[in-house]
Amino acid sequence: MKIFRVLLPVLLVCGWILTSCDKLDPPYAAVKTQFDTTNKPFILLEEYTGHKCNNCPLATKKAHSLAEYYMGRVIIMEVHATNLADPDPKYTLDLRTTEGSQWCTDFGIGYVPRALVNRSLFGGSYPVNSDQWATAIQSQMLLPVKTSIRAQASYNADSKEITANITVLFKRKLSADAGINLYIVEDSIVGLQSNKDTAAGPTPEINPYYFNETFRASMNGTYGDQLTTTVDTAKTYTYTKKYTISSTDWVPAQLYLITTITDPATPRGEIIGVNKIRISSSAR
Amino acid sequence: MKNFTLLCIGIVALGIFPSRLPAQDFLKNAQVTGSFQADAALYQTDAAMGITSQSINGQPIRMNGFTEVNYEYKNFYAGMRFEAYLPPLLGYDAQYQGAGVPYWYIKYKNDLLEITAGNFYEQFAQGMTFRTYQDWTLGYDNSMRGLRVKFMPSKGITLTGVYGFQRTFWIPYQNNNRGIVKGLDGDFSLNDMFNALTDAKLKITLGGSFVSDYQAGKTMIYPVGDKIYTFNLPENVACYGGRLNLNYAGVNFYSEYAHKINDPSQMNVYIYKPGNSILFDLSYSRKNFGVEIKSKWIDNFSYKSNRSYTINGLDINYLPAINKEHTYFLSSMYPYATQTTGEVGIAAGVMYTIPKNSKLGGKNGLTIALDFSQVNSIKKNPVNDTTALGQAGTLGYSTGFYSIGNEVYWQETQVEVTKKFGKKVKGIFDYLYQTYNKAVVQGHPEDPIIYSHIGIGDVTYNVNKKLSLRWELQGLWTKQDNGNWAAGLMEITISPKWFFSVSDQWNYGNSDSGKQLHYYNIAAGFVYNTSRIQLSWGRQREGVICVGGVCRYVPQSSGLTLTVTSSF
Repeated sequence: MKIFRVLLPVLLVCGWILTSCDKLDPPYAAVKTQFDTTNKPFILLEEYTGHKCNNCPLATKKAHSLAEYYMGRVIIMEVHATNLADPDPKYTLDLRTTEGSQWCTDFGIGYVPRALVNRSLFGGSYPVNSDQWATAIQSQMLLPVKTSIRAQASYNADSKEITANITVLFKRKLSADAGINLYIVEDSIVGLQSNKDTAAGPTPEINPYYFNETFRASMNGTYGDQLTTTVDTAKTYTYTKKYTISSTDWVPAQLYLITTITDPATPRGEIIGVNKIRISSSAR
Repeated sequence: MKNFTLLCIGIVALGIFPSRLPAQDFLKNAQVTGSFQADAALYQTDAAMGITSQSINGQPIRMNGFTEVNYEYKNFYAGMRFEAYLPPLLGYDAQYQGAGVPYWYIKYKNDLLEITAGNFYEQFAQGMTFRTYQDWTLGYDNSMRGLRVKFMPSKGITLTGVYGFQRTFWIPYQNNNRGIVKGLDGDFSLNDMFNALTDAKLKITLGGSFVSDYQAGKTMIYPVGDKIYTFNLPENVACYGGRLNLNYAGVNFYSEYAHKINDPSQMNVYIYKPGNSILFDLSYSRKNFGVEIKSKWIDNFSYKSNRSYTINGLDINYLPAINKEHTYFLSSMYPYATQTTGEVGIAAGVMYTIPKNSKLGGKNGLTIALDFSQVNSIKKNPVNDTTALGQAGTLGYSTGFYSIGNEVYWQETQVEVTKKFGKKVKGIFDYLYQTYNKAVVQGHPEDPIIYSHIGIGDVTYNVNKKLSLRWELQGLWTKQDNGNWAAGLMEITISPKWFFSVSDQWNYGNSDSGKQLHYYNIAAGFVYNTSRIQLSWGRQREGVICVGGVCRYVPQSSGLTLTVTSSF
């Protein structure tokens, strides 16, 4: 019996040690080719950038390769902020926005390039460095699809007004209300971009550089509107908003609308659904 | 909060079973101890420092506070800590914002066994395989929540087992957002275990530990260049180590070695090389003389219970620093932090007190301390001709045991003289030469290596038993970073209740004349028994506080701060 008293704990400890040690053999990695989009959510990668940021072109390229791999399930929005987005006599474009600067402060972006992924915590932090985007996106891809968004947006050249009509169906109940944000982004803005990585283009500058998915403005304020006070999965929720373009720099044909649905019960309004559509021109 | 309620129910339940534990006795003969601390600040804008209302996020009033209460009755212990960050002081992670009870425990202890349920802090040896701790100054807490069992089967043997998950801010444990940590440690004091060695002059202590972290998820997506890869991940990452301590006639030798299996993480940019860490410490001391030599070698040894974490938090282990930690304004300006990806260091110190009434020692003796420390990179070689150094998804690099790289991360030479001038005056005089690789330590690749000379004079004059005056005069001279600094302090202590101080740090050598600022501070404090209140007003310069491998950035600020501490 005495031997069992000694042997049993020893065997238990040995068993625990053996099962607590996953030693891997090479190769540790394999090239991934195909992504299955079935039942996978859409995710917003909100990249904070600036035209004087020489690390940013490579990060943006990485974002696009991820969006391509995820077959459109990753939606990119470029927010120009921090002092590296400030215009000067050489870098004349001013793509900064009031909302972008506010988010930059509120989420503690600090420096660029960094991103928010669905405005969720990743690794204990909201801002995610570019080398972590893939893992942050992957962790969001594991979550269930919570919303289905149908959007329609048109631009009236006479009134310079964008009208957005959104229909949302919730696939999961939320603990309280839900928020909605409508972001206008613009493609193909031509300018000068600082660059230090030959993998991303000519150095030390890329000229011309096409700024795509550039955040221009929010149609409904910095943190959007309340879509509904309670969420019922049996109902569809609609939301309509108009926005008048005051800037003469925007090219209407290059504008898109990004809709996000947020869960205000989460600490920073986590995004639980995203949709992106082109803003069409309505008849005069 | 739910767990805390359970704790309260547990305490009450113990109190209402009179057959086993008389309720009155449970309350009357129990011992309750505790502590309280509140650090509050009223920040103000300061045009010269560039502090606007936006830089303080429009929240000028901030407070960090905690209260800890511990209860003890015979073999039973319980405790909790309430914390409030409303909002956290500048420089503390904004994720601390909130209030609650992140720490509670119940414990039963006798000569054979100690069982803890709830939160606990524990350390295996120097912590290279496992350490949970809380550091208020760093804003750091990685306490375990789970179970701990200590078993003392016979004299000289302590076996410790831990099982649980770690605290990170207020984030609840869910959805695999951190690992489950399990650990076992054995500590054996041979002189206590064997009667034949009880009186031996040579004291021997041995120990060993095994820790494993479980994080669900066998694969992850990761882009390398233009391609997207699937990385295989180890769900169970083990770390184990052993240690030896020998003590003989004033000579002490300590060594600890730890090994970690493949642990791809954001900290090592997803390489699969196993990690190693070794520490040596040899010291000798006798009256008036002490000498110590330490060395460490760290190779890919960050160990966190969330592989995505790069911020302060969820560290399972602790890599001790071998360089001295400073408290003076200017000698602590460039603090070194352990580089978990790899470093090799050596530190040596000798202290000698020249006896009283000797030629050099004078009437009161003279103490001289010499210290030197240096930390370099380790040598890293590519694993083969086609793989870039440190490439994710590969072993990353190869290195020889105790390899030494060419890059200097830190070097310090310090001479300190302590001298009493009569019965009333005591002086401490320091000279330091520091080499600080800011690019590596603080992650600012554009910054040059900083070479600085530092001189410090610290004189205390005890006017009488109640009144003492203390002056500090300091200078830091460097051609890099912000250039030269001067600092001074005057402190008046009226024992046992009052103290006052005035200090200033002046960056007179800044190449930008607009930044040649004075960082002045006026403080007053009152002590009553175990309580202390301190009020100060002035400017805080930007800096970094580091302990071991954990650092906290301290932003510049200006305003009023109030600190209240108490214990009971």
